[in-house]
Amino acid sequence: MTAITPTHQKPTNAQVFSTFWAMVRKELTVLSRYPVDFIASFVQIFIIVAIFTLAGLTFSETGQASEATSGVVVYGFVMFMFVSDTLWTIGFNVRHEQVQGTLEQLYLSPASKFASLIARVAHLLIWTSLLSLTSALIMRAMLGSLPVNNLGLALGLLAFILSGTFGIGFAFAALTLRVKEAANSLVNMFQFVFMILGACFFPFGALPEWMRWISRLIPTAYGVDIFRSTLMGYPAGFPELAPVNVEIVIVVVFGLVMPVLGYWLFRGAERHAREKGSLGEF
Amino acid sequence: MLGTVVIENLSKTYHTKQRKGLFKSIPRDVESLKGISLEVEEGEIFGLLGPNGAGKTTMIKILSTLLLPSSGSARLNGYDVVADDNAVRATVGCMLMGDRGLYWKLTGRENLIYFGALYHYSPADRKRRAQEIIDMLELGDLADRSVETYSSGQKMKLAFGKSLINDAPLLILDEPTNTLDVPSASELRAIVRQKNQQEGKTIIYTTHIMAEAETLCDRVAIIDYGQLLAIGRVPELKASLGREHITRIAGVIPSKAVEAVKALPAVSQATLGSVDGVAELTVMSHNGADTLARLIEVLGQIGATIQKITPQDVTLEDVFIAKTGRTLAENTAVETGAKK
Repeated sequence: MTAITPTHQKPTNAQVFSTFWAMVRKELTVLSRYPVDFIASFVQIFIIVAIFTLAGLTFSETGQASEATSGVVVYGFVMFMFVSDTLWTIGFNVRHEQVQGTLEQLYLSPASKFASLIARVAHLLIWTSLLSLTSALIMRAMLGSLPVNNLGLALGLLAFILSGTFGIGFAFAALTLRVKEAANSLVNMFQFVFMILGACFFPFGALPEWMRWISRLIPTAYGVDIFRSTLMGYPAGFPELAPVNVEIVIVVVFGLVMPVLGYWLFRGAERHAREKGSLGEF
Repeated sequence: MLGTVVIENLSKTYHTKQRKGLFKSIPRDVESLKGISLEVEEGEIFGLLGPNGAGKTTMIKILSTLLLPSSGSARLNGYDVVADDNAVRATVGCMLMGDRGLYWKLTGRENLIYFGALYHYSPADRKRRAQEIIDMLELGDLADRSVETYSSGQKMKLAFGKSLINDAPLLILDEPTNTLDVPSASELRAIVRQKNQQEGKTIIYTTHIMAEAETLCDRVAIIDYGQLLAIGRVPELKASLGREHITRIAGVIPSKAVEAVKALPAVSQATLGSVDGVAELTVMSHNGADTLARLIEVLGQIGATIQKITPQDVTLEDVFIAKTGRTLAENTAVETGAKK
C-alpha cells in the first residue's frame, strides 16, 4: 500500500480550486442521478416561459410585444432564475447535507468551507446560464423582438448582482444552521416577496407607489431594474427606481459588501453550531 | 508528537432550554464533560467506554473538532483542537456517525474519491488512494455500485474506508462495528489491528461491546456522568478487582433484589440485567463461597426463582459495573442543576 502523508500545510490556490471543482462535480453527479427531476425542472422552466410570454401577448394589440415589454419580461425572468438559485440554493443544500449527515463529514476535513458554499450553487449557475439563454431565444421568437444593448456592461452588472446575492445566500445558510427546518418556511415567504417587490415579471410601474417604496429598500430590486434597463438601452422611464448612476453604485456596493457580511454571518452561525454541537442535528 | 493525544481538564457544558408548556422554557446547563484529563500514547489502541449519555460522544466530537470545549484543552498529533483545528482535521481520520455521512447517490468509489479531494489530494492521488482502500476492504464490484444499494454492514465498511482516506497517523473510530454481522465485525477488527501493528497508527476506539474492547484495546478509559472513572490496561483494571468474586445468578428475579443483596456485608456491588430475556443478577463480593449461601437465602426471601448460578472470572464488564454501579446497557442522564 502506498501511503500518502497527511499534510497540514496551508493548501495552495491550485489545491483549493481542485477541491472546489471536485465539489462542483460531486453536485453535478448527484444531480445526474435524479434524471426525472432533471427533465421535470427543464420542462417546468419552459412552461413558465410560455405562460409569461403568452400572458404578455394577450395584452398586445398587434399580437407582437413591444421591445420594452419583451425586455421587461425576458430579462426580469432571467434575473429571477439567477437570483433565486443564488439566494436559496446554498441554504437548502446546507440543510440537505445536515439531514443527510454529510455536513459533519465536511467539517471533519480541512477543505475550505467557503469553497464548499460556492460549489453548492456553481453547478446550478452553469445550468441556469444555459436555460436563460435558451429561454431568451424562445421568448424572443414568440414575442417577435428582444432588445440587446450594452451587453458587456449588463454582464458586469450581473456579476455584481450575483456576488451580492451570494452574500444573501451565505446569510440564509447561516440562518439554516441556526433555525434548521424553519428556514424553509421563511424562504417560501421571501421567494414571493422577492418575486413581487423585485418586479421580475412586470415593470415597477405596475406596483402601487407604497410598494415601490419598499422595493427601493431591497438591493436585488435595483439589480433587476438596472440589468434589464441596461440591456434595453435605457428607454424612457427606465430604470424605474433611481437614476442609472445611482443604481449602478447601489449594485456595485451590494456586490462588494454583501458577500463579506454574509460570510461573516455564516462563520458566526458555524461557530455557534460548533458550540452547541448542532452541525449534525437534523 | 504524531499519533499522540493529550487532554487536559476538558469540560463541556451545554446551554439548553427545558420546555415548560407551549411557550415557556427554562434555561438549563448540562455538564457533559467535567474536567477530564488523559493521554493516549503513540501506537496504542485506546478504548473509550461508557453508557449512552456518559459524555463519550461529546469527547469524541471535541477531539474531531466538531464541537468546541467550554474549557480545558486537547491536542492531537501536537495540534490544538481549537487553535489549530484544520491541522487536526488534516492529520486525523474519523469514523463518527456510522453509515450516515456518505453520499448515497454516489458509488462507493466516487465517495472515496470525493473525500480524498477534501484533503487536497491531487486527482491522481485520490483515485489511487480510493483503489487502495477498495482493495484493502475487498469491496470489489460493490465499489462501483451506488451506496443506496448497500446493506447497513457494507455502508459501515465504506464509512470505515472513508476514515482511512487521508492515511492519518491517528484514527478516531466511534463504534465502527455497529450494525455489522459477526464475521464482518471480526474482519474490521482485524484491519484495525493490522493498521495499528503494521503501520503504527494510534486508534481511539469507542464501543459498548466489552468483549471487543477487551480483545482489541491496549488501554481503556471508563467515563460516566462526564467524569473519568478509570483508566489503564485491561489486565490492570481487571486486577484492581482481584479480590472480588463475581457471581451471576439467572432466573426470575424481582428488581428489589439489588438492594436486598447489596445490604449483605460482603457484597460490594450488585446489578440486575437480562441475558436472552432472562433476568441476570451480577454480584461482586469479597468472599464468594461464603456469601453464596446468604445470597440464595436472601433471594428466596424476596420471592426470586433461581435457575442458574455461575461463578465467573472478572471481565471488563465487571470492572465497568464496579466503577459505575450499572451495566453498559443502562443510559446515563447527566443533569447538573438548572440555571436560576
